[in-house]
Amino acid sequence: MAIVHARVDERLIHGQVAMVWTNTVGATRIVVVNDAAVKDELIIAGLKMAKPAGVKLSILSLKRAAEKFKEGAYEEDKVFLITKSVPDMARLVADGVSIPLVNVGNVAKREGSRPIKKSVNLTEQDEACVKEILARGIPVTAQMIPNESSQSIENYL
Amino acid sequence: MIGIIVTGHGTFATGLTSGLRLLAGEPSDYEAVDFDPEESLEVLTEDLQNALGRLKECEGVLILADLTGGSPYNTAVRMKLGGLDQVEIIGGASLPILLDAYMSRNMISDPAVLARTSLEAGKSQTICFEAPSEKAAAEEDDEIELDD
Repeated sequence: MAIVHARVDERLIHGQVAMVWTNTVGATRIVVVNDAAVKDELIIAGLKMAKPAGVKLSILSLKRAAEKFKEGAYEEDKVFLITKSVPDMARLVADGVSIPLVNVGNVAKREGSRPIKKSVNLTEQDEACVKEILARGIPVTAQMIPNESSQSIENYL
Repeated sequence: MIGIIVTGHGTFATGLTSGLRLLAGEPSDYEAVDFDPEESLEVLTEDLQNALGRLKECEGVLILADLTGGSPYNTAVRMKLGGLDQVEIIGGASLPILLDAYMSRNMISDPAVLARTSLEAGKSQTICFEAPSEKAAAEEDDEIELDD
């Protein structure tokens, strides 16, 4: 089965993600892909704590994640993939990880970013990455919570 | 669909609802009933009755009251004892209980079952933080995979 939902969320696992999205997409495993997280004991402890009961968790670097997915490591699971940034998600896609849909849920305001909707602020680099993902035929949405519109992110750009 | 009513002292109900809205979006088949202590119990009873009236299309109603034994709870209990069998009441409402009930009601059509499952889910999430012991960390290993 592998990846059933892929989300860009700056806060990685938090209330909305842990309770609402995991439940909505029916995930059995959350895979957090972030190069900083794998080296940071505090982030790891936080992710473990935020993980909903009964769901498995993997915390992987970009490189290791691409290898694992391509090996078919999670075929038995329904994976909910989370990255912190759009470029990280684009990198996984470019590395050949099979992702059915990307949802840009929560990206905070930064230097050089503009709000495309509430809770999603993209830089030019982010937008280029979104277009790259779209160009590969993968739908991209921008839903903070599941009952927001699942229209294409293109409509917000 | 089972309707949900949250009720409590002051603006507990609308406050809890603002949390739910942030996590799960604008709720439907849902009512928040605040109890202003300046108001009489008659007003609270009427507000709860009106909320139940707006949920009359629902298969049943789960009422979450903030404080077991408080006026919102007692009023709901009196209304139930007055002959509402498809109404269940939980005392000690919290966001974990509410969120679980809100999401589980898509799969559960019996209000008594919904009340029990969301109560258990809420209890399991009412905790005092403890730094994980080495034993617990070892037990977690099959569930948590770190980059290697």
